[in-house]
Amino acid sequence: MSVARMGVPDLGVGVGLRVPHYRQILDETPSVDWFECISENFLVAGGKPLFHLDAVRAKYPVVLHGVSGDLGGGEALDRDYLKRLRELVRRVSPPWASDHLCWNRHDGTNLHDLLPLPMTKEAVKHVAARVRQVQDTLEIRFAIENVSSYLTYVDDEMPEWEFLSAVAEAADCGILFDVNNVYVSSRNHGFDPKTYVDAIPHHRVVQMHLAGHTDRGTYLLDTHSDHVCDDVWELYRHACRRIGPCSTLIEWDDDIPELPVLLAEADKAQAIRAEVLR
Amino acid sequence: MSTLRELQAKLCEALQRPTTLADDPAMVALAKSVARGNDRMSPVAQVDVYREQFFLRHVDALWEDYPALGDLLGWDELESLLKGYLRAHPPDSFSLRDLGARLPAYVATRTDYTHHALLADMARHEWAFVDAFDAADLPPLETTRLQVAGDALDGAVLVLDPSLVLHSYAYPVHELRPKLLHHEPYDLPEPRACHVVVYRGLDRDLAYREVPAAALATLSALRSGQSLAAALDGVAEGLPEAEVAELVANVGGWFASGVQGGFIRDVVL
Repeated sequence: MSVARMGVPDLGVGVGLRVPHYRQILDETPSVDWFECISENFLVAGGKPLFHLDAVRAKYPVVLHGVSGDLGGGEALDRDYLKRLRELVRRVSPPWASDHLCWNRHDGTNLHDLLPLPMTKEAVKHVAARVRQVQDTLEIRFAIENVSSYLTYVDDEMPEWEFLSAVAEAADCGILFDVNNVYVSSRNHGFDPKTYVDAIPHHRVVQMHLAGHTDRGTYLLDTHSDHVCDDVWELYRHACRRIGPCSTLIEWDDDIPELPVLLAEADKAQAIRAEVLR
Repeated sequence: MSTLRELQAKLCEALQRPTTLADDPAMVALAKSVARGNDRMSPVAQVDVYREQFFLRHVDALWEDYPALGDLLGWDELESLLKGYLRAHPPDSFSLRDLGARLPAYVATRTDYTHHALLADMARHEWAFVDAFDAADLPPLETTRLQVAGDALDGAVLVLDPSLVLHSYAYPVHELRPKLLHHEPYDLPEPRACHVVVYRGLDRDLAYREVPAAALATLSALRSGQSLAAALDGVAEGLPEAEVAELVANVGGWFASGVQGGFIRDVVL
């Protein structure tokens, strides 16, 4: 483990912590550098979720990854949510936490989706202020993740890489760079994904995500239900070259395979990192 | 150009439509005002991707929490029920865990279903497992606490495990549910008043137990903070003499069972 950018360590290659693997992880302590868990699954009072999280945390570094922070929402940030997230941060002591550059909620309704934001100067200012508020509340480094998208807005004023960069700079936060999301969006909207990789502020990237997606014919859907595809591995190779040593995580959330399959994906990422960074 | 809030209001409305937006000219116009589209997908097709995901995600999450209700209704009817529920009660919590909290009450209002009382009981029973699963933790009761209590136990307040869910049903849905989940043959049960405790055991696994009416009433009184003696007095009031005698005879067994099963987590003198 080496010290990397923005004061957070390069943890190596990890995998998402998912229920079907709990027992095997705790019984066998497999060789994996770290785990990432979905914060919202552990914002509960007690029971098995927190018991297992504590047990895994005792053996491995764990990073918290949110899906409902509503960083781009038009309503005030949910104070109860933030309070509970801060308590979880204190319990887990992750080196950083993250959520998505998106919106989830409007007028009291939580859509539970990672909805893209219009890439406007208004949105940059709005989201950056909220990200700063979250980062200050949690008192740890916070990173924003680029999402997969299936639409572009009439109101967009800039390409996504400029939008992500502008928000991260204005908020002074980290970037969780999802390589698969860039690939999915590049195919859906017709841009060169390497342009995206090259354009973002590399010193702010504290983590990368890799995952599988599904081809729906007229668009790619970010399903996290399959192996990382060859094109995404190639893009990851390019990202490693440009970004340098950076914690990487394999996400697999649907049709979750046996743990060895997931760990084999992590080994593949490890090999690419080692080859590119030697 | 829409403000951020205006744009989000438009999409929030569109995404909760139960059927494709392409059939509604107003929604097609709304989509065009928001999304650019491309050479493969029209603006309305792009917005429809998110609309489809809204229902898939939420129906899947609810189905996971209500598997036996789903088996009783069948997929098409369940999907229809859940879409109606989502329209009546849009998700308002940051967590999908809370999504189904109001489904038992919603099912109870659906008197158009032939067996709606049975379905409502099943929904309450299934939600009890969700509530018990991640309720707060308390350490197990130390036997020394009981020894300290000694003769003063009658006046003590018993702290129940937070996972305990106490339900009375009109149908024995707790007997039906395992048959449904294990795909065993079943007949729809006749009505039978029953009292069930759903809880998380000391091993953190979920469990349930049918208990006598008086035991459920005693547990309810204890949960409200009454002492053991006050709880038992309250339950005994109005009971025929024979049932009071039975209550007194059984209370020691319930207590032992409650300690062993992890229902009782502390004794406060």
